[in-house]
Amino acid sequence: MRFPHLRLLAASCFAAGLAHAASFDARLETLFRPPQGEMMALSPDGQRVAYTSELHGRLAIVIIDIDHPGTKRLTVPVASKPDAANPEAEPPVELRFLHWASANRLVYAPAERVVPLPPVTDQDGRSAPNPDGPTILAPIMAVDADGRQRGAVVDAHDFQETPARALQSMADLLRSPAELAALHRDPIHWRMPHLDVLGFLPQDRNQLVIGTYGAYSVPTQYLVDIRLGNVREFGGDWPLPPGEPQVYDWFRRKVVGERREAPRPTTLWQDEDLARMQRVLEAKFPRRTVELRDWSDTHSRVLFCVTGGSDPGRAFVFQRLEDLPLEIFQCAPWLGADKLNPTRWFEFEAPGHAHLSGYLTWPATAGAEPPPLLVVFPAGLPARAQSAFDPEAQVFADLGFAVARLNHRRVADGAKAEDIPALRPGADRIAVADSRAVVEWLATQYQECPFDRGHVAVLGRGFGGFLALRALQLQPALFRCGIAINAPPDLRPWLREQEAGGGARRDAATEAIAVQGADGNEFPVLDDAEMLTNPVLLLVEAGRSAAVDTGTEELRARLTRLGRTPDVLALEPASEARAAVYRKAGEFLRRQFPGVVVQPAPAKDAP
Amino acid sequence: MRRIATTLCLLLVLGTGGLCPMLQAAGAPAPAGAPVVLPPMLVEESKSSAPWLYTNVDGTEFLSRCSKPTTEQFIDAWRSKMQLMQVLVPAEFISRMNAPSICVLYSQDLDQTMSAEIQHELQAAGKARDDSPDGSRVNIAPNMRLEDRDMQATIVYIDETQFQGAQVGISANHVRFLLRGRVPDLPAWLVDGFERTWRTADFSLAPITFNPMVWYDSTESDALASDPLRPRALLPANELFAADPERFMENQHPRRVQTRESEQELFVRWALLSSSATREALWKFAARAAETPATAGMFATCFGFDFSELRDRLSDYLPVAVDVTKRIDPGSLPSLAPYEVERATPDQIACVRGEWERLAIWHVQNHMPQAREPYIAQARRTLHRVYDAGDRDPRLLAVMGLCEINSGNPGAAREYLEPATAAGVIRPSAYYELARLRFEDLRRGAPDTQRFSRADLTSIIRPLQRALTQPPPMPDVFVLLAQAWARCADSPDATEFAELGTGAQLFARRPMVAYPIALAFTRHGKTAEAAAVLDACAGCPADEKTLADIARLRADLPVTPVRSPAR
Repeated sequence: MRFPHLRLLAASCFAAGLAHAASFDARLETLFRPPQGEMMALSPDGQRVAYTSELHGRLAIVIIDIDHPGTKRLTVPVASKPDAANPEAEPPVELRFLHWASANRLVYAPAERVVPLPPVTDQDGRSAPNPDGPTILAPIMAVDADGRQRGAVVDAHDFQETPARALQSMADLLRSPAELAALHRDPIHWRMPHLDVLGFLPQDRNQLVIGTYGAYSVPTQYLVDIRLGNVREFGGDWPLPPGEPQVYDWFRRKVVGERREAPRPTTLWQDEDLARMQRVLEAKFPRRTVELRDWSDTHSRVLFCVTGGSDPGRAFVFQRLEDLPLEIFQCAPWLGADKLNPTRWFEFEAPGHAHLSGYLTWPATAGAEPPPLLVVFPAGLPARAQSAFDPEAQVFADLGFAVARLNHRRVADGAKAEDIPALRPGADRIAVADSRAVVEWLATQYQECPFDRGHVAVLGRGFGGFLALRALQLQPALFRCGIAINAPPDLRPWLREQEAGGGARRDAATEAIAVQGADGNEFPVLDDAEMLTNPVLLLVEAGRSAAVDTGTEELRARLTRLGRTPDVLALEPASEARAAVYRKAGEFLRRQFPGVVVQPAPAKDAP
Repeated sequence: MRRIATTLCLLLVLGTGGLCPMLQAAGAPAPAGAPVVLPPMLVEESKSSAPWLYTNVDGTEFLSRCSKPTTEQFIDAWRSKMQLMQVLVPAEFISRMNAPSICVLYSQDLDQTMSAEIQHELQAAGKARDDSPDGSRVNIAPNMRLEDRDMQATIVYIDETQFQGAQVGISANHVRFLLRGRVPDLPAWLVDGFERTWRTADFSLAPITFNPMVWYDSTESDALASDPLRPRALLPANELFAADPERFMENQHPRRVQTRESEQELFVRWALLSSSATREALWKFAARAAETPATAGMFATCFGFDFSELRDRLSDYLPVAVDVTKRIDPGSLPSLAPYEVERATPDQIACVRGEWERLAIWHVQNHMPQAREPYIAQARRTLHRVYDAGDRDPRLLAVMGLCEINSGNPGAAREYLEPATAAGVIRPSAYYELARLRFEDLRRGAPDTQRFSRADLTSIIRPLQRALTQPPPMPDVFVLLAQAWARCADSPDATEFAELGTGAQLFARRPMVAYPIALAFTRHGKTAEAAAVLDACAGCPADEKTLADIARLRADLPVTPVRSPAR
C-alpha cells in the first residue's frame, strides 16, 4: 500500500514473465511440431495431390484437386481418434505406402503394427506365451478422390493361417481357423502373416500386388483389386520394383534414378526428361534443395519438395505447360518465413582436400553484437547429413547464438572403405579439427557480420555429444563451454550397444573407430578427464543407454574428484520436458557467456 | 454510401475509371470494334462568356473556365495528392520536365465539346463504315490526358454542382506515366506492379489506405482470404525480376501472364507496406535494377535475404494482402507554397489551349485521321489569335512550330521554330524538330555514303546538344545526334563521345537508340564501346529491321567489348 507503483511494477513483471514463458513454450511447440507431407503422391493425370497431415493429433491424408482449387481440401483420417482416457495406448501411426492407383482412387497403408496377445496360463497355473498370434494390423486402404468408397481393402487377418497339419481333409481347406479349432480335439493355433505392399500390376493399376510372409506358409504374392477388394494368388511373374534408393517410374516400369545420401540430398536421374526438370526447378529455386517426388503419367506435372534456407519446406506441383510452380502446401504452415532465423548452407574445401559443409543459422534478433557462436556436431553414427531446417538451431538462434551445424567430412566425401587410413589418426581428432576449420572459415567469410570468436560453444548428441566433449578437451581455447546430450564418454561399449540394437552400421567411420580400438588408441574422454577444463552440461536420458549412463557417471565422478563438478540434467523422455531442457541449456550458456546470451524465459509456474 | 459517392465523384472529376482505357489507347490505333475516343473541343471565347483563369504552380500550368473557388479547390486537391504520392515514390523516380505540364479545366455543356464541323466529319466517316452507319462508335471523352516527348497535358471536365475537391484522385495511369518517364528506364515489373498497387490505394478518407488487393480475380481473392492454405502459383523471384530480353522470351500462357501481373503488384505492395525498411529497400533495388538487370546478389544486398526466401515471404503474405486493409501514415507533410489564381492573359490562353489542341491533332491523326482537319483548324485559330496580334513569345512560337509539325506542314514549322530556339525557349522538342528538319535538308539529294563536315553538321548538332540540357532526356535526340555523328567526316571530341555514351546509358535497353549510337561509335573507331552498347541491349524487343541491323553491325565488332562507354 505504501508503494502501489512498485506493486504494479511487480505485477507487470510477473505478468510479463508468464507471457514470456508462455511464448517460449509456444515457440518450442510450433518449432518441434511434426511437419506435414512426410508422404505425398500425385495422381496419374496430375490433377490431384494427396499428402499426409495431422488431424486432431492423428495422422490423416489430405487430398487436393489442383485443377479445381475451389473444391475444398478433403481430409481423410488414417488413425482412429485417440482414447481420451488413455491417449498413449496406441502409438502414433505412420504411413508406409501412399500412391494413386488411378486418377480417382488412392491407396494407402499405415505402417504395420504387431500386437502380442496376452500370455496364457498353462495347466500348472504358470504364465506362458500365447501360442496364437500375434495380431498383426496391416490394413491396406483405399479411398476415392471425393472421399467416398473408403476403407480397408485387405488386412493381415484376411490371411490368417493354421498349420498344414490341421488341414486333414479337402473340406478343411474351406474352413476358417475358428471352425477348424472347433472340430479338432487338439488346439489349432492361428498366425497372421506380415503384409508387404509391392506395387501396382503394370498393365492394370487397379490390381495391387502384395506379399505375405511369416505365418505358416511360404512367402506368397497376391493381387488385390483395390476397387472390389477381391484377392487372388499371383505367380509373382512381374518386374518387382526395387526399393530405396532406386527411384522407380510406375508408368514407364523402369528405374529412372537413384537417391544419393549427401550433405544435400541429390538424385542421379537416368531419365533425361526428369533430369531436365530437376535442372529447371533448381534454377527456379536457387540455394534450395529440390527433390522430385512424383509425376503424372505424361510428365506434364511434377510433384516436388523444396527445402533449405529458413523454411521448413514446401511442396509444389510444377505445371510444365504454364511453366508455373504451384505451391500446394507448406510442411509447417504454422512457421512463417519471416518468423524464423535465417539459415544458409555453406561448403568449402578445407586443407587436406576435405570437403566440409553445414548450415549456418543467424539470429534474427541478436542479444549481443557480434553474437556468440554455437557449433553443433552431427548426431548419428554413421552421421546423417544435417537437415536443412532444424528446430533446435532455431531455439539457440532465438537465444542469440549464431548456430553452425556441421556435417562430417565423411558424409561429404561419401563413406568409403579407402577412407579408413585417413581416419586412422583419430576420427575424433579429425572431426574436432574440421570444426575448428569451419569456425575459421566462417570468420573469414562473414567479416561484414562477424560472430564473437571469444564466445564459441559446442553442442552434440549421441556420437556428436562425444565429439563435443572431445572438442572441449582438444580445443579449450576455442570452445569455451559445451553441452553433450546422451553422449557416450566411452565409445566402445556404446558402439557395441548401437550395433546390437541395429542403431549403427559398419561403415568407414565405425570401422575406423574399431581399428583405433584394436590399435590400442583409446578414446580418452574418460582417461583425459583432466583435460576437460571448460564448463560442460551433460544432459542424459536415463535408462536409454547403459553405456551412456555408466560413462556419464564415471565422467562425473572423475571430474568431481578433480574439483570440477559438471552440470548434469536428467532428461525426461516426454516432449513436455523439452522446454525445461532448453531452458536449462539457455541458463547454462548464459552463465558461461554473461550478457551475451538472451535470457531464457522462466518456467510457467515460476513466481 | 459515402464510399460509393467518393468513387463516383472520382470518376466524374478525373475519370479514373473511364479515363484509363482512353489513355492506354493514346498513341495507338483503337482496337477493332472499340469505339474511337476523341478529345473534347473547347468552344471559342466568342461563344462563351465564362472567363479563363490561370495559374502556374508546382510545374503545372492550370487554365480554367470553372469558377475561381472550384479551380482553387481542384488545384489544392491535386497538389495534396501529388504530395501524398511522393510519400510512396521518391522524387528521383518521377519523370522530370523542364517545360511545365498543362491542365485545362472546363465545365461547359458536353454537347458543346464537339464542333459542328467535327460532327459532320464523324457522320460522314460513320456512313463509310458498315458497322456504324450513324457514327455512334465515336465518343468524346470528357477527361483526357495526352502527351508527347516533352509535354503532358490533361483536360478535366468538372460538374461544379457536384464537385468536391477532396475527392480528386490521381489516376493509376498518370502515375504510370510519371514512372515510365524516368530514365534510365525503371524495370517493367516495378512500373506495372506500382500501377496496380496504386489502384488499391485510397488517398481521400484516411490517406494513405491500401484496400485488399485482387489476386487474379475477386473469386480467387476471396477464396484465399478465407483459406490461407489454398494452393497458389507464384513465379520464382528470378523470373519475376527478369530483364526485358528474358520477359520477351518467356512462356506467355495466360495463367502465367496473369500470375506475373498479380505477383508484381504483390511484391510492390509487400515492400511498401511491410516496413519503412522494405520500402527503402524497394527503391534502392529499383534504382539498381534500372541500371543493370536485377540479380539475386543485388536483391540480397538491398533486402537482406535471397530470392528463394522472397518467394516464400510473398507466398505467406498473399492471404494477408487479399484480406487486410493497411494504411501508411504520411506523417506531417510540409505546407505548400501559396499561389494565386488570376484572370488569364490572351498569351496564356493561347499557349495552354494551343498546346492542348496541338496534342489533340496528333491523337486524332492516330485514331481517326478523317476528323483531323477541324482540330488543326481549331489549334491554328487559337494560336494565331495572339500571334496575329503581334505576340512573339518564344514559347508561343515553339508551340506554333510544333503544331505545324503535327499538322504535317514542316515548311511552316521552321518559320516558328527558328526564332523560338534562337530566343532560347525551354522546349527540347522544338530543338529536336528544328535539328531534324535541318538534317533532312542536308541529306536531301546526298547519297547515303556521303560524309559531311563538322561545319555542315553544326547547325544540327548544336540544337540537339541544347536539347540535352533540358529534361526530359529524349531518346529521339540521342538517335538524331548519333545519326548526325555517323555521317560526320570529323570525329567527335571526348565531350561529344560522352554525350553519346550518356544516351547509351540512359536508354541501354532500347535497341532503337543503341543501334545508331553504336554505329556512330563504330564509324569513329570506337568499336569496343560500340560492342558494349549493343551487348547491353541484346535480346531486348525491337522491330525486325533494327534487330537485323544490330546483328550485322555486331558481327563486325570485337567479340568481347573492353568496357561499357556508359560507365
